[in-house]
Amino acid sequence: MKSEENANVKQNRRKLNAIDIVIIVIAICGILAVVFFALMMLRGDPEESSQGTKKENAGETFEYIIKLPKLNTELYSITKGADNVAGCPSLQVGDAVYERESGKYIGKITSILYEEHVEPTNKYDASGRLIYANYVGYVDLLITVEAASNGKDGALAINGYNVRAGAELSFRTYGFYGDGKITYVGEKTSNNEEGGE
Amino acid sequence: MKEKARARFNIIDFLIIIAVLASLFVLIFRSTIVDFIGNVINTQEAVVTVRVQGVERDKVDMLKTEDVLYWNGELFGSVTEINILENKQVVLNESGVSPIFVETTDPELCDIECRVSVKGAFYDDGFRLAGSYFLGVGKTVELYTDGFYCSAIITSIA
Repeated sequence: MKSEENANVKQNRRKLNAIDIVIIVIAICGILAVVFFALMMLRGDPEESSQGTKKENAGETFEYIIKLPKLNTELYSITKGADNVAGCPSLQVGDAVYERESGKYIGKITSILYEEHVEPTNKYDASGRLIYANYVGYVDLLITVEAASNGKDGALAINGYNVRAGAELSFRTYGFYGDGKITYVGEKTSNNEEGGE
Repeated sequence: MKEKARARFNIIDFLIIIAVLASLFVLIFRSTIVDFIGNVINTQEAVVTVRVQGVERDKVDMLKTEDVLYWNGELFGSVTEINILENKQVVLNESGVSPIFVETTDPELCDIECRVSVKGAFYDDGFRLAGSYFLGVGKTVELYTDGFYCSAIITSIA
């Protein structure tokens, strides 16, 4: 009697068949897809995620300056305004700045100034110093970017990008691609909202 | 007993068959689906202006309006307008008391300014060619046709 029951149990016990394997594979794929999309959702829009971090971390607001050297004023349609304010149709105050490789949001432009671009000549003055001269038709742009730090251990960082003076930075905005160098990092000192366009 | 043990065709089996058939359909018609999605995404048209600097004057005719330009093996767009401009160069003038840089033009060379009609999509953070590749002023793109290759800088997107 007992052996007959055991036989029935064994008979009823399901064996792993092809359909079960397909179900398991689909279930695993489904779980992976859910995890993937959840991660993507968490990453979300760079600007939004930055604001989210702001609320949680209430990070220090800081600013940094990116120097873009030797830009041809004609090619970039750069105009020179009063107080060294530069106008550039493809680069505007208020534009979001993204680190080019990662695409992460790294701040918002608060001012755009220009400096005349200078290059060394091959001449020296009476005291033996190399003479520099204005390189006509070219300017250096100084872009001030404001960001809320969400770095750890006192580092000024935004969305994983550590902002350090002296570092090269490849960035993009809505309509602009730039390669420059960070020349200043520090606390936000002035309200530059009305800077150049 | 035997009839009881036989598995019945239920809704789960039906869903699995549908999923497998859908996967097969996607595999077989992958390229068609990708094209379809691409056409849906790339509905917006933009005019990108690019500048090719320092072209030898005898090679200017190699680029014409309606030429189709490619970039990295992908379609970039078709040329709608061409302007031939002076090639400006900055040189050091040492004739004065102190040296200065002055602008001059090279008679052997010229710049080609092209307006190119491209397809893509405008997103919150910029224009993407073919829905994938961000374009922006200042970006250098290597463009080519069947018989012409150049390195061009994007000067405007509208």
